[in-house]
Amino acid sequence: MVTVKNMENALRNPSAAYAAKTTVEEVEKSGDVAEPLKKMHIAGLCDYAAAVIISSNRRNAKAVVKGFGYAYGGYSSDLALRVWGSFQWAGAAAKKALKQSGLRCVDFAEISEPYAHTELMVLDELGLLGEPVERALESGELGFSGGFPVNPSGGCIGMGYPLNAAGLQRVVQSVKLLSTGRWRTCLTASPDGEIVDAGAVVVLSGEV
Amino acid sequence: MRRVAIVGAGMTCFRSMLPMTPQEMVFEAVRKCLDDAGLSHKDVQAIVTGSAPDAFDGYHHKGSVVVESFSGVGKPVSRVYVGGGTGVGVAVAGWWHVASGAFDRVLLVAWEKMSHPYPHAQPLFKTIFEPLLEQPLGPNLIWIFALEMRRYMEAHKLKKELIAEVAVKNKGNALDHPYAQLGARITVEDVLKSPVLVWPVNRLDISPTSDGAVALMLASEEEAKKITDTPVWLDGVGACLDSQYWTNRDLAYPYYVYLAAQQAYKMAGITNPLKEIDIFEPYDPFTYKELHHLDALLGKPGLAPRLLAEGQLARDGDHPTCPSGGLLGVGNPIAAAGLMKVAELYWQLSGRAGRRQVPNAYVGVAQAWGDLMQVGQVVVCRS
Repeated sequence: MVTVKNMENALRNPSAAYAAKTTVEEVEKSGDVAEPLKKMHIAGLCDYAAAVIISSNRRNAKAVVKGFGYAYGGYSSDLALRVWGSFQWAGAAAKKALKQSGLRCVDFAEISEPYAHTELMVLDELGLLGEPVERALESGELGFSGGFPVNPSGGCIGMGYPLNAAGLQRVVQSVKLLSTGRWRTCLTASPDGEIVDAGAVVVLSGEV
Repeated sequence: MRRVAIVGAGMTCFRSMLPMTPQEMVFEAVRKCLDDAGLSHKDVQAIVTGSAPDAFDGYHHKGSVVVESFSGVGKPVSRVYVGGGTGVGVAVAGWWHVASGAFDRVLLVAWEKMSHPYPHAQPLFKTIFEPLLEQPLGPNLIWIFALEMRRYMEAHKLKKELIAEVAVKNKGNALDHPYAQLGARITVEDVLKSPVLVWPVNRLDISPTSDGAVALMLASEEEAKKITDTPVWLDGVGACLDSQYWTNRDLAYPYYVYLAAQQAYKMAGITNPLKEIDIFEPYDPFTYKELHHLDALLGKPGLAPRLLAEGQLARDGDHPTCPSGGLLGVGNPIAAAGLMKVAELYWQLSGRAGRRQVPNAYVGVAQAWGDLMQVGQVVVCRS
């Protein structure tokens, strides 16, 4: 469902490489990679470059950084010691970023997801939803027109995964989405690569 | 911007084939640093780490393997990587962390394990050059430096005998450094008679490959006053890049180091570095590099060799340069070597340098250089 949502969101994004209207059945039939991962659970690679200018002068600003946080979750080089199924970094980083921003909730989230489940694992730790993440996903709450859109840009699955540029790709997309005026605040998160339990979060506001 | 202080430092000894893992080295350096500052790992709010190519250790993301050695789990950890410039780059990035107001107590740690690529790390450097025009020529680091050294000698009409004095001075200074790898009493003749690797570079013109780790503790002004009576202030930082194409930059004068130094001097309010700075720690992986970099730190091409000839760069001279012993004497575990230079400023300016102590030293500058031989990283410290 994450794949279906993100690929469909990407249809609105002219920079997206993998925009498509698809179904859960198509994802299930896309071929096994490593049980339970199917081919379409994995973001396709892409070439992408992102640039952001940060300034202390707000006059020409497109968005404002309200808070930031980053953290190491656990001993992650050694897979045997890893706590599987949870991103310990995300809770610590988001807590710091949200506290600094003074916000209790945000209007949408952009999360780097090399795999479909990565998005859900980060959401699990953020604690921004009033209900279990799976239920929110099933009810359409996380869709483009839902109450808390996640990856309305199409995310890495919809736009393509540019490895180390993925985090800044999300920041650029967050700023573009904020400048549409549809939303006022967002949380942008990116895990540190695919293996390591670490990552960073920024909270942005479109109200300059 | 807030004022930033160095409040503690620690390091391992620098050795080739040190029988310690990266985790053990980092643990030892961090432990000594925190003990020096009288802090516990619980007091550390964020960590800035530095280590040079992943290729040395043979796996990607080598930064995360030492996270437990400094209790970084659940904390903000970042890694700086600008090749040989990494060590001082870590101090520059640490300054951003504290000066910006984001953190009050930040631990810096840099380490390198160069023994893993046995028998030598040199082949790994072949992959760092520009792939289209330079890699096909099969360069290695020593012949690249030989080109630059030759150009520097030509520009200022320097003799090998004079440049060799840098090795004599630094290895001599390192005799007083408890963690040094190559402290020795040698002569100019020893340097000239050591094997020629790529003319004009002889064996004793080059720093060794080493293993080692260095840690430094930074604090905001308010915190520093609670921690120590003798903080050393990190009053200026600068960083600058030049083109990676050898054909597009001046090999006789590292202008990028000059620009980085000017940034740091402006911040620290220094207008005449030769008069206002008491000790210099320029990056000296090769003998000529100390002079090459000192020229840029002083902003006057060709001045450093003249000062050397007059004996002014000695530890008891007017402009002590590499009083630690530098990379030629203490050793060159890439990222850790740069941070060792910043640690030396801390020890010298707070009066903790023991037998190496330069009397009346109040202001010091440390510099590292690297990436593809075109990055300058500079810090200015004051007691």
